[in-house]
Amino acid sequence: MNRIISIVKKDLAQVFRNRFVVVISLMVIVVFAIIYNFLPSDVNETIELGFYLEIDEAMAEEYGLSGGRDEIKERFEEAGGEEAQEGIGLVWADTLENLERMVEDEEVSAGISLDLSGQEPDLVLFVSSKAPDEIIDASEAITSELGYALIGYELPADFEATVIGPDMVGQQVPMRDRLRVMLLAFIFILELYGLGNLLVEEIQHKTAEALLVTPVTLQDFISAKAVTGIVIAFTQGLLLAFLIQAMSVDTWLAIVVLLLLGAAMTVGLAFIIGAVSRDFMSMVMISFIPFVILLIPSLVLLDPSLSSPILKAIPTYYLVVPLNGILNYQMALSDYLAYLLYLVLFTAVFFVLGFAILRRRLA
Amino acid sequence: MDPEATLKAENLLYSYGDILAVDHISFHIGQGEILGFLGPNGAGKTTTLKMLVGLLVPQEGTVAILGKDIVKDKGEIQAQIGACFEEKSLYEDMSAAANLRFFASLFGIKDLDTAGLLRRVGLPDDRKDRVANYSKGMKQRLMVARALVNQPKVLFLDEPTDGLDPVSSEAIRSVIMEEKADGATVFLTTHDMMEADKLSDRVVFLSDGNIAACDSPDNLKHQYGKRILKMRYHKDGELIEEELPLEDRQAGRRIQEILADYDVLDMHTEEATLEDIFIQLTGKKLE
Repeated sequence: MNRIISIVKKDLAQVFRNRFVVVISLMVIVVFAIIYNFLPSDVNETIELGFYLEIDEAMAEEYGLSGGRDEIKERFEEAGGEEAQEGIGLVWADTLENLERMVEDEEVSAGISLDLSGQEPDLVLFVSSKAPDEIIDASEAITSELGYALIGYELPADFEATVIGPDMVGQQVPMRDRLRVMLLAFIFILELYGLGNLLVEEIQHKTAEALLVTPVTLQDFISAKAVTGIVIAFTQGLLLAFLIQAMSVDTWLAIVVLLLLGAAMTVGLAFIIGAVSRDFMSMVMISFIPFVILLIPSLVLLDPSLSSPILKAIPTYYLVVPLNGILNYQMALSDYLAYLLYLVLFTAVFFVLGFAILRRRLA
Repeated sequence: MDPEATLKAENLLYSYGDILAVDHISFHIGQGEILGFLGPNGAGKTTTLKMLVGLLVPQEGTVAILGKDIVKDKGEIQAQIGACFEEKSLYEDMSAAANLRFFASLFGIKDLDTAGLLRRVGLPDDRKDRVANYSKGMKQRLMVARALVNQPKVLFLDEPTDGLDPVSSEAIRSVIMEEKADGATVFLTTHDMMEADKLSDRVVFLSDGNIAACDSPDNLKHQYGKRILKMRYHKDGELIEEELPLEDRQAGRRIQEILADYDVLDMHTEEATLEDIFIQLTGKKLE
């Protein structure tokens, strides 16, 4: 135990002696905190809809829409109530071509064309092919309601509004709160470099060999590196959590547990990367792909349309989902016990693999 | 084999895939003895050293140090040995004293006289700057000092003076002799034959993972070398150089003739060096 403590003390002293590493580490935390605090805390829930109306005088009279655009807006607001007034903005298009262009250029979420110039009303919904499913579904529902409000009966079109996943109406999470989950995950992923470097330097400079000729065993060596890594990663995560207001009376315990598990998993992964790397540069190259993959689950929080079942194969998924639930949806840690189990399993697998590779490398 | 040997290596074998690095070698070192382990690069010196200190597990054979097996009692043995490798393995962003204190702490030593140890290897004891600023010779001296923090009973030194200036080399040689005088057993790998001759009680010639010879430098020279007397003299205005093997019974008479008949410029004896004997035995040069 004393040998492990000696190595940990030496490692921490080395880390803090390296001004470059200290400055970069602190700067990342401060920059992340600034990004979080400068982002707006409210949510823009308004959907901009493009609208084009083709109507002749006779039909306008028939449908009671002789008031033109004002009349339509009034009808729509009457139908949708207060929520619709605040949640949907109508943008008028002069021509059908203009409407299509607005949709294509993503100036509006969707475009609705209502043609009341013929025998039968013709209602067409334009949605960009890039639009996520949620927007298409919402637009279909709105269009259906709008048609009913304007012409008095439901159009024969097959408009179905389907809510996929939890219905977040009225409880949308501001971008900055979704971002703080990403920032917390990101700080750990960044630590891959720092922790991996702790190992790479010992191997590259043969100091690991010098240590292993003393009574220090490989188990002592790896345990010491694990403790150092977890202390550094956890401290950084904790500091950032305070700065981005993730530590409330209700959440602090759950966040501390998740940060500890996240730090341990990062250290395990850093062991593998450090053990297979020749020097710092090769470590940066080797860790690039894992770095990007590990980041994906937190990026998906920012854009849920990217969600996919394959995310469950990424270890950070089991960190990001509980963090998101606890920080943004008032869930409890007990709701995520299966996730915690997966985190522990991934960590154990990484440690075992890292240990095996390191043993082979040092031999 | 000496039953009281401090270090006994028996039938050691190690290969890296198809490459046989060490091929069933056996040797021993007695207490207070310096064994020079000589061979060119790639002969298997470092692989042997790594097996002796517990960094590599022998694929065949055994190593016993201070009566214990290096595989079974590694921790116990490592607490009583000191090792200094050829490559500089120092924490370069720490001071020399901090390096020594850290390694001492791994042996559970809290009251190490770092200043005294640094002075012993000829390093200043008051420098607080990073080891990265030290010269190659200073780093090597620090490596030797580090190997001594636990007052080892067996000292392993891998090319300790390779590429060093004469002052640093001499400082390290002095420390080795002091350790021997204090009763430490020393395993010294080198390809410097002069150094091996000067320091070693016995030498092992290693070539392609095999031991070609193992004896004291004097015995090897006596067994394999030729002693020669070289004489230079003037004969009819011409400078003549003549070599006379001292083992030859006729040499005495011939020396007397030259001394009587010619103007002798100089004469001196020449002994075979360990290098000559190594080449004679293995057909290879050391470097």
